[in-house]
Amino acid sequence: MAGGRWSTQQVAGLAPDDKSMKAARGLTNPRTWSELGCTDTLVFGKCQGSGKEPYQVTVDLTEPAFRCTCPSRKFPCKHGLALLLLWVEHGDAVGEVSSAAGFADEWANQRADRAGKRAATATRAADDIVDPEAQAKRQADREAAMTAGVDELERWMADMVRQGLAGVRRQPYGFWDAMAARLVDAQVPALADRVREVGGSVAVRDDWSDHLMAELGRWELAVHAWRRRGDLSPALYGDLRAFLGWPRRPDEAAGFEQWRDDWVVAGVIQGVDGRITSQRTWLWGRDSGRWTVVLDFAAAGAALQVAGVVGSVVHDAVVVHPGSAPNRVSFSGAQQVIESDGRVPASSISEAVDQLAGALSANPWRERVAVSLRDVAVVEAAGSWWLADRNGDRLPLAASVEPWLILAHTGGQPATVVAEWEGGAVTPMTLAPTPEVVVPL
Amino acid sequence: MTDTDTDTDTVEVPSSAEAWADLVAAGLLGTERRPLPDSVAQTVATLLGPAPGAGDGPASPGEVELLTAAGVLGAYRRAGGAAAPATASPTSAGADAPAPAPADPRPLAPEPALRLLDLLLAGHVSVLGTPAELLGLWLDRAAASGYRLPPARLVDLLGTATTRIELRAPVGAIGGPLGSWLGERNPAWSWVRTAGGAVGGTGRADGAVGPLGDQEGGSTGSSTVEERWATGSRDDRLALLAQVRSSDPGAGLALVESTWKGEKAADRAAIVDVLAATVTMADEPFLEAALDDRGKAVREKAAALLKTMPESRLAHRAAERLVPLVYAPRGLLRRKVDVSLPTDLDPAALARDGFVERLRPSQMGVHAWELVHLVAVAPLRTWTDLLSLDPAQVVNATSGSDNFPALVRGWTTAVSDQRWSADRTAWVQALLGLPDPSPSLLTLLPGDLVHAEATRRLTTCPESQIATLVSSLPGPWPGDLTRLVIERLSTTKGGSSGHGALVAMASRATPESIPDLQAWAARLGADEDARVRHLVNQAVSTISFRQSILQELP
Repeated sequence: MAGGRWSTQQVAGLAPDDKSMKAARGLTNPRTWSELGCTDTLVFGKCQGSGKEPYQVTVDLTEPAFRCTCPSRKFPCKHGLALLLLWVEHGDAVGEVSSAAGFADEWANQRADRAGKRAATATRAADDIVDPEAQAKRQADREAAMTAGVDELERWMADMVRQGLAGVRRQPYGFWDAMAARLVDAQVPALADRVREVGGSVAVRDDWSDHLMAELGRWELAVHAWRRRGDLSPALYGDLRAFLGWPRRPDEAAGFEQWRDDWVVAGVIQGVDGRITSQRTWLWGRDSGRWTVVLDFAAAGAALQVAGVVGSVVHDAVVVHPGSAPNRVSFSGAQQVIESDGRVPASSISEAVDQLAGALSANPWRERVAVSLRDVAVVEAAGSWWLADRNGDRLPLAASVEPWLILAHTGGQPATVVAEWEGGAVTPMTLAPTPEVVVPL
Repeated sequence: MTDTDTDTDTVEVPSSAEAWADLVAAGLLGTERRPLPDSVAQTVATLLGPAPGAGDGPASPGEVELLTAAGVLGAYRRAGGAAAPATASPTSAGADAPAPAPADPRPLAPEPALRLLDLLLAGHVSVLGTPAELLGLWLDRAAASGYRLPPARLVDLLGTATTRIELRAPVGAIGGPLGSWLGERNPAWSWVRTAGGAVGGTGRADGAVGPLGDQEGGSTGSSTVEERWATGSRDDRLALLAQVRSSDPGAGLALVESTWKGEKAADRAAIVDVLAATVTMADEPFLEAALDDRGKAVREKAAALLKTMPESRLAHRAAERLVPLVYAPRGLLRRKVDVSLPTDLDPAALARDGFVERLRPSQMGVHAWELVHLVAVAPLRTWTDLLSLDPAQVVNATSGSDNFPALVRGWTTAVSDQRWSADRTAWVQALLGLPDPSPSLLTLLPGDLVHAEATRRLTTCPESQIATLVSSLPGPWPGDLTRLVIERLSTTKGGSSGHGALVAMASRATPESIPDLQAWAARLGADEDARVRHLVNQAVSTISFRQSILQELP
């Protein structure tokens, strides 16, 4: 089997939260399961739940993707996790078979069909001769709307700095919300989200004037960039579109570059941006040495697809969204897990900071970058927590990060940490306390 | 800074940080009050080249210039600013870094045992009684077997034990050096050092104390210990004392005495609590002196400890007060012995010796209560020495006295507290022979005698008291005892509604009784006994889970 059976920790890394993992543990009694089996790519079984019929549970190992007939909205549900735990820990209960059970096979075929259809639609869309006149008109209309929105934003910002930011702090939330609404109408929704977020933070942050000024400056750069969009490099144009919130059409996406590489799944982190839950899966290409990131989204309440298991190595020609490094990418649909124990080479803090500087100068709207830090230890100084390396350099841990798990794993000794940098602070995603062990955090 | 001279040799260009501060100040004030200082534009130009023009947008140039400068300068600072925190503090490498956790040579607990732990933590085990009891059992056995926990679970348990105080001692024990180290770093977990320390830190069977684990690198030289005792924080010192006492009680007492006079009252009380865990007669002089301590809590704690030590002067004083009250005609073994109430004991002296008037039950007079106190504290051999009778004969001979109930009450306390009495078992048996003995007496019998006694009492006990009796039977219950319990509970009308009885069963019955319990559950009808059946099933689940724990962690 490609990559062998997984480890318990990798399964734990897929759980959406601790409760799911514990619930899954309660289901790992082989007696509640029937028709267990696995093939190269699938693990399947039926689990007797509280209903009359047992739930049919299947896991496609390549992505991984889960399917279960239980009514849970969590993803993956506890049955899927329990099935994997059984596969990992009670190997003999889940024996290899040459062909999968009926329900598992059916689902795998349906997925393959759908993936095939998606690919076909994409190529078809590229090949289709869409009415070029209509399309050009739509594009022109959209750009005009965006230009109007951007102009209005600049006028609004100009009013703010003319009258003085000190007065802005007293404005009600509607002041920001109204501008955001107009930006949504002007088809720049991501910028609208930023306006709302900054509006909310002005009353709260101690450094509100610095933060606000920096944000206004960033928005102004976007205004300038929009007006000169014809002159921008493709990468910078891609960054701008991402910042404004102008996604690509499927036929455009079909024309994206693809980078084939062995991608190490270096770290996964979830966050909430307004009402959307987002998940960033950071990948590092072994041949190219490039960092990329897969973005997944779910509206509030819905569940997230798990993009990849931390530590696994996925061979794929990922589809690259235009922009500067680290690029947003998507899996092609034909990816294959080839190893279960990949590592990212680590650097010192000062080397990482240089990389950060490079990424931030290339794209002034860049929010987050991943770094792999060598031999860092968690230390406490001046009442807060930091990652410090052997040279004495330090990076602050983000305010919400609790250091206890890392401290317990490392005992205070230095270790390799893969972390996501945002706004000057880092959030650890993956820890390698010893060279042999990778721990998702 | 409005010099128009562009020769950079003579014009000082502000740094990016200064320029940024100027920019923000201008923005706060507003350009209609004051335009953007030229210095800002100069900085931008020096660092990055000329800024883009105002462009063809609708806003007026002054504002656009400020906004654009903010964008450019902001981007510059963000990119360079990533470096600032790293080099901002010039502390030397390692100055902040705490000493790493000491190595833990213990192996990880085995996977099957860890799975049991996960089930317990997730609340997936149907338990009668408290899950904390089973969790405590798991932790104790794992620590006794010399295992340690994987880091993630240790962090979970440290969090759990912070709120569930009864788990602190077991978690402290299995936490080992890593647990103590984490407890030093997280103020919420500071309890770890006193909890684990009292058990000896690494939980080694030979009782040796693990390294004291701090920057000094574990040296236990006396000067280091005394320094830490003299200068440490309260929690530190109490943990240190617990550790020293567990390996060398005399050294621990010496430490305490070296600073006793200067301690605050609350600290003195806490120190006495630590001493209590390992108290011996060698501590008697210190405790006797503490009876006159300025602090009430210290006096009471010292007296409470001395009351359990029959060789102490306090106990002898009680005997001296007691003996004159005993009227024993010489030479006549079978003559009834009478014990009269004390009449003019000095209340202050009594209080000093641990007499607590406020605990007197309302149906008992003050002097009777004083008698109870004297009987409880005087060494038991006072009676046998004085009357030349064995315990059963003493009890028999005094049974005619008006004050016999007070005597019984006092003796019941005495046998429980005076653990080192030579003929304790004989006293317990003598008291058990009385009509309505206290159930707690059973726990004081040695194992082989307990079950014979328990069986006898179960068969003869009246229905109304069955549930109470069952709750007090000490475990573990061999199979035939459990069968007898089931028989009596199931034939007692409403007796099996004694929830406490079933909880006791869940924690004390041995696995061999599971078939009997399941048979009982099957016999119970589906109507009003459904609740009992459910409880019995829970008891079975608890017992078999306990068995799993004992199997995985022998």
